[in-house]
Amino acid sequence: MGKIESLNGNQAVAHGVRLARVNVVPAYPITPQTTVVEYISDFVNDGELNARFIESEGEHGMMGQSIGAAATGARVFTATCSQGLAYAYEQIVSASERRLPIVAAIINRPIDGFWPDHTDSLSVRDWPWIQMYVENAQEALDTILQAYKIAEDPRVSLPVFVCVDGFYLSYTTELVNIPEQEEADRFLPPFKPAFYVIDPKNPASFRIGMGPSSMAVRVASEEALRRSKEVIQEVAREFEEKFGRSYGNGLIETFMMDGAEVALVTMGSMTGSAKEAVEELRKEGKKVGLIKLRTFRPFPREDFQRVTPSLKALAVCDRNVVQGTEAGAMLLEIKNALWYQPKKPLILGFIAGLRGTEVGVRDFKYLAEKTLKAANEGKIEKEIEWYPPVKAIIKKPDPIPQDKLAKMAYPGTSACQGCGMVLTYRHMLDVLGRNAVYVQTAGCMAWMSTAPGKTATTIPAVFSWLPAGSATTSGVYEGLKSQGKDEGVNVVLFTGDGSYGDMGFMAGSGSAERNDNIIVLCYDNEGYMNTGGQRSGTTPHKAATTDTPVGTRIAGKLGMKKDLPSIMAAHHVPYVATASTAYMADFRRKLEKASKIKGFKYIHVLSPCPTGWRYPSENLMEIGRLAVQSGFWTLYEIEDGKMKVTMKVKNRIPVKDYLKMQGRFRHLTEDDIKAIQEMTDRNYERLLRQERLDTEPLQMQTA
Amino acid sequence: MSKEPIQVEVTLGGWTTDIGSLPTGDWRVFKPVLKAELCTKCWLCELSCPEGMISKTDTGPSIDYDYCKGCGVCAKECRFKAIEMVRE
Repeated sequence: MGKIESLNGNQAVAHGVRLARVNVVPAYPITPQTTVVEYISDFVNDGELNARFIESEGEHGMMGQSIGAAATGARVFTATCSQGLAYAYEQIVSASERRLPIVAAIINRPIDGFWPDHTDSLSVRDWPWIQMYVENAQEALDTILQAYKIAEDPRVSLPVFVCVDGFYLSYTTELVNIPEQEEADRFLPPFKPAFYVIDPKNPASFRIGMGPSSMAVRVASEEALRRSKEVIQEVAREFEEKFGRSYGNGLIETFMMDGAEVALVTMGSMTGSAKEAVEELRKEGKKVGLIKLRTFRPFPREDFQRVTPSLKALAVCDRNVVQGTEAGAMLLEIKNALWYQPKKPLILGFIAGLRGTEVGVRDFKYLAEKTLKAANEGKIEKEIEWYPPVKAIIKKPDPIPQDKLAKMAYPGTSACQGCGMVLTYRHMLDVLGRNAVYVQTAGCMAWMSTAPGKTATTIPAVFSWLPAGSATTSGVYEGLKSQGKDEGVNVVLFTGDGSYGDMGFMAGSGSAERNDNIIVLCYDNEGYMNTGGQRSGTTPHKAATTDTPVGTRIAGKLGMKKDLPSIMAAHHVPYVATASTAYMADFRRKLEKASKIKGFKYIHVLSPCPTGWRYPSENLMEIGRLAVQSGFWTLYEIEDGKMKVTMKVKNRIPVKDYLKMQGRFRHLTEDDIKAIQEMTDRNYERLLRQERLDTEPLQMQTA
Repeated sequence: MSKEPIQVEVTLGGWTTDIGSLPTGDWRVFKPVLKAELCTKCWLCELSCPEGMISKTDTGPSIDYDYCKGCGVCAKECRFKAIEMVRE
């Protein structure tokens, strides 16, 4: 009957995915979801899960890949949260409208914020996705298996979100029973699509519902959601029979409700603390029970109608807020469900534990006591309260004191020891001077703002999320220009390779094509280093990262390093340059030059990362030098379309000398190194050849 | 039975002028120590310190130990071995 191991929530999800024999896993890292897909990539690369792992370029693409794969009849899993969920929104809606039984884990974290609450997943509650919230790691694993069975049932055929509280569940460890593969197989048979799948031998096409039929489409999906309530209960029963673990009826779970006068209603990880509070209160003779809402969509209104008539009062503890209603989502739904009931309890709403604020056993006891008091008095003091109670005092910050303006960059950033990015950043500020505005994108750069609500620089800094860095920068410039405030101001985007080259590429390409008067400084640490070192488009071929691990079947990144400077040059912008942290004088000269050119300027700095590349921190400059001296990274500039290699290396060292210093290349074979050497030679020569070509006069002339 | 609200100051939209930093000096395991007699004031250490914690003075480089994270780049880059990494 399975084996017991200590797993964190994200590991438990990954084991669920492995046991479900998923075929395709599109993935893009975002804290705190990242380790889910890292664990899955370990399974895939070691051959424990025979799935196609797609390293997505962003969550919008990730959900698009999920749709495409599911339409072929493949079993698909993906995971995201927060910003990523928001970015995938358009495709999320499409997935449900196409009725594709995708299972996606949301490792809850609020949008534009941090620490767990349910506002991210609840922001997509109004589409025909089933939403299930789990209490602990065991339930996370079990719910993944159940979710496929529910989603793929022909009566349902809808996608399912399995929502796992980020941080609290994703990173904490508990004992989890991991079922045997045979047990999982007996419970979850292979996926048999209910309708058509994409298949050239049996052609059928996929269209959006338009015209009069589109309303009927919504009616049909609403009916499927209603039917799914039965299916969820059937699946919960079968799961209990086969595995001996029960989660209520699948929709809600009641706890110590016998003879209860009041009940707490919770969802997600806080249920654990609430259960403990209920137990303690019962020992004190207080008639308190608990209702755990497990399935938020479809909303189990009948279950609330069934369990609440005997209660005097209900305390609904929402870890979310529906802004503009002064209420939480569960409260609105429960009130809606009970509206026509002849006998209904008093309902107290608490918006509790928003953005990760801890709500512990003592807090739940306090909330329960408050509810008992209301029950005894037969009235409530306040319909809805924020818990813990917080009063926001709006404060306009004082101007930066004169003495602090003396410096532009302040130390004490949370970047790693020996970080190449911080070095680049400090020299950037020094070259551009006071008359500059810089935009930073999420990533290692985000840590430059040293602590919440604080900044590490005295020039205006604007924070932007990954996809919109370049767009925000263009906006800042145009806004200043429209008011005549742009004179001599350098508007610069300081962004990472993952942000600019992958997810933010669309906005980046847009800025370049419009020739917006901005400087883009892309620090290339060859991966998503801030989320723990995943691969990005600019990670070199074969490099090991945390989601392209060295396994027994697959080792390192399969694709090539995206040549971002060449792509930017193909926009025919006034200035494109490459630079290296090891050649600071060269970098500073290029940045100085860029600051005097009008139009779009792009500088791509290779910025070694001791943590992600796995080398001792003191080797920062050494690694940078070897990259250039071996020709692995070449310093050049392209001004008005003309290539100039700014550092020609006469006697290039073997690329092996560069590779062998880094842990991420330790697994390379002699053949791998030979192939990389050949690519390096070809690339270096191509650049020199391009320089020669660009200096020759034009041969073709019009008559 | 009521709790006093916690008062929290917020700025609209997250605007801040608060210059803040972490005391990153306590990250160090090894500490860069200058051997002034070997220093030629080439300032390579100042150029390559990621955090900018080495400043130029008339008497040679001055290291700010409140923030130096102890990465060791300065010691590695010094061609004259004028900086030594010493265990804290």
